[in-house]
Amino acid sequence: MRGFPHTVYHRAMIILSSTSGSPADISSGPAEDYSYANLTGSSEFDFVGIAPIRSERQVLKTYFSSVAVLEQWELSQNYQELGEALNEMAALEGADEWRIEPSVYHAASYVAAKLREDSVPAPQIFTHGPESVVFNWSDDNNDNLYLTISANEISALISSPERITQRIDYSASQFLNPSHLLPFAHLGRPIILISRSDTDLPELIE
Amino acid sequence: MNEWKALNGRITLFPTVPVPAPLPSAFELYRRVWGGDPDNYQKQANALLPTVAQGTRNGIAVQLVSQPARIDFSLSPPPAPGAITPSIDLIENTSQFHAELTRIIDVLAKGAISNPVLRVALGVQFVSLKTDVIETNKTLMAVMPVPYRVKLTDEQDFVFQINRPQVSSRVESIRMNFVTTWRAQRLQVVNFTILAAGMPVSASKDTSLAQPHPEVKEFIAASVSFDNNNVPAGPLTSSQQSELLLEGIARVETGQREIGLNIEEF
Repeated sequence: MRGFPHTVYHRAMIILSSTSGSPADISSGPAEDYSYANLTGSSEFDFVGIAPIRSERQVLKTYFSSVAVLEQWELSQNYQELGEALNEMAALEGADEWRIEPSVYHAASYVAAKLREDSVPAPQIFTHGPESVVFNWSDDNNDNLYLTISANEISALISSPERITQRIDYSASQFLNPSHLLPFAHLGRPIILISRSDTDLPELIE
Repeated sequence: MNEWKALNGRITLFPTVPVPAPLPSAFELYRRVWGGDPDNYQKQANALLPTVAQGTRNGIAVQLVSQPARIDFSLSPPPAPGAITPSIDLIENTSQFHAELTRIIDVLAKGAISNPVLRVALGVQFVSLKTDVIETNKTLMAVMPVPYRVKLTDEQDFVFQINRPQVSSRVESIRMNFVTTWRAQRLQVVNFTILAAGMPVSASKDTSLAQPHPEVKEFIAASVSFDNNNVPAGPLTSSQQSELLLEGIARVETGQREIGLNIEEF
C-alpha cells in the first residue's frame, strides 16, 4: 500500500512579465516572453514591484498516515476572528465602550495564543472598560466561565444560572506555567491538552 | 563523503507572563541577529497572527516568526537557484549552519529579548536521502544504539523517540529534556506557479501557464532529530537562556557522533 508523505514543502515560482537575471525555460513555447525564478528573496519581489509573499516554502507537519484532527480548521478560524476582534478593540479611540488599553491587548493576545496552542475552544469576548477584557465560554446548561484579563491579573469565575460556583484569582507569577491555569478554561472541568507535557513542545501555529 | 546532512534547525523561545509590552517584531529581531533588513517581512495582521521576517544569510535561508506566546528562529537550506524540478535541498555548509545557530545564541545572550522567557528549545534535524523504504530503514538501524534496534525491512512510517532528561550542567536547578527521534520520513515537494501581479492570464500563450498546476515529487529520507529544551521552572535570564541553548547544541554535537552520524563540521 502506498504511503503518504509526512512533510510537504511548497515551493512557489513566479512568472515574470519580462526577462530577469535567472531565466529558465519551463516550456518550449513562450520562452521569449517569460522567465521564471524561485521566490527566494526580495530581489525578485522588488523587480516586479509586488508585495512580498510570506513564504515560498512551507513545512506542513501533518502525518497523513494518521487520521487528521478535523476540529483544527474550525479552531483556527475561530481564533482568527478573536484576534481580529482584539485588533479592532485596541484600535478604538476615546470613550468607545469597546476600547481596550494596549497593555490589556498584549496580555489578552498572550492568553489567547496560549489557549489556541492548547486547542482550547475559542471564547466569546467582551469588555469591562478599557482596563480588562473578558473571555467567556458557556455550555448547554447555561453554565459560564468568565476569564477576566487585565494587564497584570487574571481571574476566573465559574457560574451556573443560579449562583457563582467558583472564583479563582491569578497573579502574574502564576503564569510561569500557563498550563496550570488552562485546565480551568472549560467550565472548571479538566480538559485534555494537546502537546502539553514537560517533554513535548507545542506545535508552531502560523 | 558523509551522506548525512542538516535539513533544518530551530531555536525557540517561549515568553512567559502576559507583560504589558509586546514582544519585539520579527523585523526588529532579524536586524538584531543578522544586522540587516530581511528580504521579506510580514507585519502582524491580527492579534494572534505572527510577524514574519525571511532572508538568506551566509548561504542559509533564515526565518523569524514572532507571535504572542513564542519566537522561532528557523534555519533551512536555500532553494537551488533557478531550480525547476522539485528537489529536496539540504544544508551543504554544515559549519556555517552551526555558526548561524551560535550567532543567534550569542545575540540572545546580549539581551536581544527583554521580555521574560520561560523556556528555550534548540532543534536540529539531519537526514540522509534514500531511494526506497528498505534502504531508509537500513540506514536508520545503522545509526540507532544497539539496545534500541529492531528488525525492519519494508515497514513504513517508522518512528522511535527517546528522552534522556537531566539536570542542566550549566544552569543550576534547571532540568532539561534531550529528545532524539529516528524517523523514516516521507517528504513531498510541490512546485507551483503564480502569475505576477498585474499580469493578465491571457498574456500567457501557453494554456498550461495560464492555469498552472503544481508539480509534485516525493522523497524518502532517514531522519534523526535532536530536540533539546528546558523544563519550565521560572523566568530565565538572558545568560541562562544562552547557557541552556549552548548546552543544547553541545548535546547535538556529541549526540550525532555517538550514534554514528559523524558530521565533522557540527
